[in-house]
Amino acid sequence: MLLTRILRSVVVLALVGLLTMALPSLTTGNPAIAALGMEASREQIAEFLSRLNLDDPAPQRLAAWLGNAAQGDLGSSLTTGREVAEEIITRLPITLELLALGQVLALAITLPVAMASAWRPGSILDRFATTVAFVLISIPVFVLGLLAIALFAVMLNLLPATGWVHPLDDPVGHVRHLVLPVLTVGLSEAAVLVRVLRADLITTLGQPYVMAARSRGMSLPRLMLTRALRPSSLSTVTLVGLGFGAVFGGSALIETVFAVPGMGRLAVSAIGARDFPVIEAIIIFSAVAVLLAMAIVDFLYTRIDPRTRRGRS
Amino acid sequence: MTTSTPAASRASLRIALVATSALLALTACSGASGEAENSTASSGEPVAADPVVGGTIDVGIDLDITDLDPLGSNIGQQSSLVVANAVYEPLFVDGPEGEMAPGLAESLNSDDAVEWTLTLPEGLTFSDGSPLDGQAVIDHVTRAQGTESPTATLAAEVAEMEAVDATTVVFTLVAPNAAFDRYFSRNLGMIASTTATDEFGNPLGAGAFVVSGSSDGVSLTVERNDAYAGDPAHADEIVFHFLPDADSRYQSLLAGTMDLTWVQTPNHISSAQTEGYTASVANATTATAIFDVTEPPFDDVRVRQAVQAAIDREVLAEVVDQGQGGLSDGPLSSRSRYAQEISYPAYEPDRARDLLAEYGEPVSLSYTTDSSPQSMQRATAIQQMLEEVGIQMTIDAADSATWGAQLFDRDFDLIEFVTSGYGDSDTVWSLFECDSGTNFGGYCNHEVNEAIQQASGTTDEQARSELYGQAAQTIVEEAPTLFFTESPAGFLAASQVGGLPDFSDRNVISLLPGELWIDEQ
Amino acid sequence: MTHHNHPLLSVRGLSVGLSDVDGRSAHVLEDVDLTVAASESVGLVGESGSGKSVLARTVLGLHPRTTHITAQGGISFAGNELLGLTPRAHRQTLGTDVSMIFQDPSSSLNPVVRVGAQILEATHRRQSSAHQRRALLTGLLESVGLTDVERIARAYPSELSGGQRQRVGIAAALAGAPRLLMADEPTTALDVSVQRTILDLLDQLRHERSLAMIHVTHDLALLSGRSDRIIVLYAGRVMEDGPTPQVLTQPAHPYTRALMEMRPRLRRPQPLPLPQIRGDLPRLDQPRTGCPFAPRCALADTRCHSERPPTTPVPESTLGHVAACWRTVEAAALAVPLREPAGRSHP
Repeated sequence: MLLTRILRSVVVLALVGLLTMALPSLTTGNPAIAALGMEASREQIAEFLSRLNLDDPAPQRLAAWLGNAAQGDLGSSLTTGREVAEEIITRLPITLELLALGQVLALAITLPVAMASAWRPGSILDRFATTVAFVLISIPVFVLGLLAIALFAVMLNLLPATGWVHPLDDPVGHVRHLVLPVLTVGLSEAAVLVRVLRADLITTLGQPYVMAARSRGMSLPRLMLTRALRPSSLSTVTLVGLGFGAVFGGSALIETVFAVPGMGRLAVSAIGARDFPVIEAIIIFSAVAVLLAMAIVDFLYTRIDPRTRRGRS
Repeated sequence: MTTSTPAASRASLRIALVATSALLALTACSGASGEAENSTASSGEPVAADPVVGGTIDVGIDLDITDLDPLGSNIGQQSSLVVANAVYEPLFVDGPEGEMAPGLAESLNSDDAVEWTLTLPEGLTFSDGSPLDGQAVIDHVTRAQGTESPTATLAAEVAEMEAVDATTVVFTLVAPNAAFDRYFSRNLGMIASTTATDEFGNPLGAGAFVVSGSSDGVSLTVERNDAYAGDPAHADEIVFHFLPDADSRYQSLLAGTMDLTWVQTPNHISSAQTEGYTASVANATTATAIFDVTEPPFDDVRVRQAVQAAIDREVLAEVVDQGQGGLSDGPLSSRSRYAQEISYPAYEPDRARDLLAEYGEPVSLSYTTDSSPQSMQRATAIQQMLEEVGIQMTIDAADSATWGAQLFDRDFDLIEFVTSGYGDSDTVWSLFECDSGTNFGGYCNHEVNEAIQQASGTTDEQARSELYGQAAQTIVEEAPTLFFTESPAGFLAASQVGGLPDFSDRNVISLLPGELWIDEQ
Repeated sequence: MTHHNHPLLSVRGLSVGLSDVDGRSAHVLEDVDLTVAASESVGLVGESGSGKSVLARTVLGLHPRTTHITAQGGISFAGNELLGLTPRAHRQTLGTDVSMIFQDPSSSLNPVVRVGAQILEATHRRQSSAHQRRALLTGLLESVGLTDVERIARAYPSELSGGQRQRVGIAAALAGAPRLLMADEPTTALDVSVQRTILDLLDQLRHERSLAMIHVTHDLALLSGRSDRIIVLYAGRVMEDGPTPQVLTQPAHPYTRALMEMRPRLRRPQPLPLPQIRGDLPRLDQPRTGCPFAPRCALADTRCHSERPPTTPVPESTLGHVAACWRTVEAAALAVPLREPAGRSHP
């Protein structure tokens, strides 16, 4: 079973890799302007482009990329000249930190709110939470970010509006700069998670086994935490897992608004500049991240629901 | 799956709508509220106070700067030039009316536009004490000739260089160029050491600051250079923060996170002034559109003139720039030292229709633009205007890389071209010269070519001005390029920042960060 | 089979209306009387929609939180009035005084929790050591006939057979040492071969622990030889209430008779088509006039349709046999021979 999974992943990665390597011929635009500037001469542009071998067939480019990657060489950025591997190593932890803290905040909000809402559907608390969730879901995440800045930084002057500080340089500053972006990501995620978890909890609470547990004298809070949460958590776990899978660029909007130097911004600027070495590395690693996230989610399923453990039953 | 009643859902929806409007009103408030401070602290007026020594100034710019080397490809846009100015002060600076004012150097003169003599003051050094003398300048220009940067093309105009003495260099050019001195107000004149670099890999400079910190993708910090030959910088330290999003960059200023921010959005300029911030802006970018004159129907001058006559530039200025900036009347920008009366053909839809009728065939065109909001607004407005005279225009919105490729491949009918290049009236003519690599539209008028080449060899400014005037007038009449508006760009400053010059009399944002101070009380 | 003076459970004049979140309401129970003495087994019979499950849940206070119930009358357990208790107070009785065995063992056990933990749920309020809990668990599993204690305690419900699961359900219901068991169709979801074993087990446990039990079912046959009394419910009202032998051999209510007739008899050729009671259940959202069974009753007259028959003792029957019918005399005299007295031994 593990073997099938690995084989499937390899096929997926191969397809992604081929498509990625075919990108230069599939898209319009080229890296020359961004790399050389507007005053470059036609000769400089032509010479620059020919050195990149962008017209080679996709399988060939993929093989070359894999060969280099195996030795740790992911190429160099066409705009900054820096090594792609180095850029990724520097920026990935920044985005991971942002996403991880955001998901943790989202769960910290989601669990009590969803449980309280599912406990008494239609109650005032439930309606209030549902309304807030509606509003948050309908606001695009970057607008939410700007609103957060307007409120906390401009009006209340509590936190810095933008920017990012290295944790070793200034731990307090690092935390202060993280608050607004993490809050934005967390609220945005929580809005979706609350809807899903609440619905699943309500379904679970209607199951006969919940009534059976109640018939044995279990209080609803204890029942909610120990008996109802686990069987209701599958969709939520999936969403959180996929959220992590988006680490290679999904946070671009947040990072741009808050000027956080993460993978998202790298992805956006690389795409805009047609910086193919960076783009290729990001896409392929992104596919790996998603596959990994899904594998972890599947594993968590077996931990949560023993009925999934026997594989195909 | 959910068990809310229909009544509860409607109630939720109503509350949601109210809440969303409240939240949006919140942002509108923060943007436009505040007592309307008296607008004496409005555009252009520096804060009148004595310079304060010390402190840290936080500056928010729109770009990511990874490599500060003036001969690298990172330093080219106006905001990046400001950062480079701090460390590599150029030999000459753009002054009012397009004049060249001395920077680090004293003078650069020529009688025949071929042989140029550069005079440096005594005692100039890089930040490590090594001399910035004639030889250092020659080494710098030699390095420029060898790089792949855009500066290489400019440096290639130099045939020979000789250090006559420690403070004098004689340049001999390949061909006469009366505007050769202008090159030294930008990258070529930002003399970088060829012998030493700082701890971050940047070559040393001779400016008022040295690089003291660099955080990838986040910021670049410079501190006062004690070896600076001129008056020491007022501030101890300047931190340049890379804030790519214009809205949150503006909010950073309002929140006090930044003291000074780069601005190019008309909205922000006007609302900042209402809130009591200083706006130091120049009409630094010109919005134009270039025809492909090699393909029908735009090879016919009547068609181009028809399009030109159908466009009301006042409306564009109103809609896109919100009344700020001004109209562009041709290749000579409004604050150019050669600025003169150029008669730009007026907005006359009837004339447009007549020209089209004369041409005889229906005309449609595709207008290529990048997808920035201002470009889209401009394109939509133009589309409506052209429709009124019977021209069908489709908007081809591409992203910037595609736009660039189409521009260089001449794959367009009419392509938008917004540039700060018109800020330098002597170098911008390459857009119109017959054999130029940057003549994107393929325009070739031999008389105009003659005038330009003659001008570049004329040291007499008056004569040069007349020749430029002739070229400009012909160009606007033949309309290979449509000139729309000049747009403001520059800096917004909080009240505690002083020393910002008034840029309204020039077309280039040439800020020397050493002149800035901050009153941190 | 003796009637004690102080019944364990006493339901008096219970009327229950339910409304759900969408505002629909129904009068599900009307004026129900029911008593269960200590150690007594009562069979509660009715077809689906008769209100028998609602009755069970009301006694236990187990309605879903989204259902709004209005109840009148009284439910007292061992002298304590249950109706009108706060949910929290009512919860104190669950598992320790009264507990429930559910119909479908595959859906009444939490699929992601180990069986051992679920069995001990009723004991969590008791202070006991791990050792004591172990001992209790072992004892419970053995008493329901599951000897592989180790494996079963750690198993998940999906790893057990249907019969094993129902035994686990029974063990869980016994863990809190209740005095009254509410068995809601405990064998309906099981294979026929397993049904009898489970019912035997319940009887055995009842005798061992002196438990009272209410066996809710739609199948009269299951009750013969097992329950002491039978109560027949139709459209939320008690139709007949009496000692099991009497009710089965001399049903006083036409509905009870009809139920008996409907039982497919395994040893005789079946009359074709299988007999059914014509007509449908009455609508529950309006209060009813007259006897609820009247529209479907062969003996119904005008008085049956317009006046509700009171519960009266059945003539010529033992003490404690009552029925709510105007025509009990005629019903008893009906020549509807019942072929054999209902006995325990059916081959």
